[in-house]
Amino acid sequence: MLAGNSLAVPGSLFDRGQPITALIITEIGEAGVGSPKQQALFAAALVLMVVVVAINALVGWLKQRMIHDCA
Amino acid sequence: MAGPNIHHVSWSVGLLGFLLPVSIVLFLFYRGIDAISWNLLWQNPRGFPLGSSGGIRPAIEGSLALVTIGLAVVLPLAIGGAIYLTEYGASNGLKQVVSFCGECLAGVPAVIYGLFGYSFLVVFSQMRISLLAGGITLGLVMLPIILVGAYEALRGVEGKYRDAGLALGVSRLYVFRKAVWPKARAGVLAAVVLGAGHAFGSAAPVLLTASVVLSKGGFDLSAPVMTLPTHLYYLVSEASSLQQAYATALILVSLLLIANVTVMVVKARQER
Repeated sequence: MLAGNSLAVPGSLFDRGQPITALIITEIGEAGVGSPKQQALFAAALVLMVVVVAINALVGWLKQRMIHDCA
Repeated sequence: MAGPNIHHVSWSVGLLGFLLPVSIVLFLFYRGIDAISWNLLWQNPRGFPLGSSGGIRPAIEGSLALVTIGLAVVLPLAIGGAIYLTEYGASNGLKQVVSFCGECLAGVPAVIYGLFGYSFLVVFSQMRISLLAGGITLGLVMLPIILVGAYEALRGVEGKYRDAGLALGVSRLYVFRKAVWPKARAGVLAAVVLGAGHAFGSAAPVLLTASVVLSKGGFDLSAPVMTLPTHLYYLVSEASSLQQAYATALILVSLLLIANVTVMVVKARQER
């Protein structure tokens, strides 16, 4: 919410931007059930979810490798 | 040469980690203490714009009710799951899959739980925006935190207690109740409070599933409620009253601190 919450691509550290979480929370109230807008917001959430799972998988893989190297 | 440097660096990093939360609490205290009164705790919100005077009692009640419902739904699942994983011979593969999923779910932003609760509970299951839908959603927010925490706490109990108990020929349940649980209890409790505190303070899941700007209080499972984090969100985003917002934040943080300190005391007494 502090990032400015505006739909623009930030060009520098001091520009406004909008994280996906804030996008969803501000826009979902205006999206009707089953509307394309709602589907787009769910797709945005999917992107977020995929990123989180990917990061976790990467960390898990690194952890495995470290344990493997120690043994 | 590296010795004293590392000493200084770790001390300053530790000090920073200590000062950051303390200064946040002190700042909230400084800005919010003037607005704290019995009226704030016991009255409904009033004024125009709404919330600029009066109290936040429905929000406090709503938050506590939501977390209670969430815990009631999820505690048996999370702790039962952790017990199965550590005590009842789940395969290594299953353990890895479950802890991976748990860690992923714990890392997912709260909005995603909100979206899930909204589409599955509110719309598909026709619960509407209600205390029950919000409670279950908050339960889902807590589930991975409590599951992973309880799993780690139970896993921390040395295997020799289990082996010794089982060698005497008593059942797994007996070994668990008499040997493992007393040792792991404090850790499990800490995980539960961590999860509950996380759910208590998060606005995004309840914003979509349970909250309204104004309710008169009361505990109807099918009615929406006010909650502290969403009330704070409305107060700040509508710029209704910054002073009320600081007071609300202070109460939210105080409740969390009270819960955490209570658990620390209980834990310390258990360990003695």
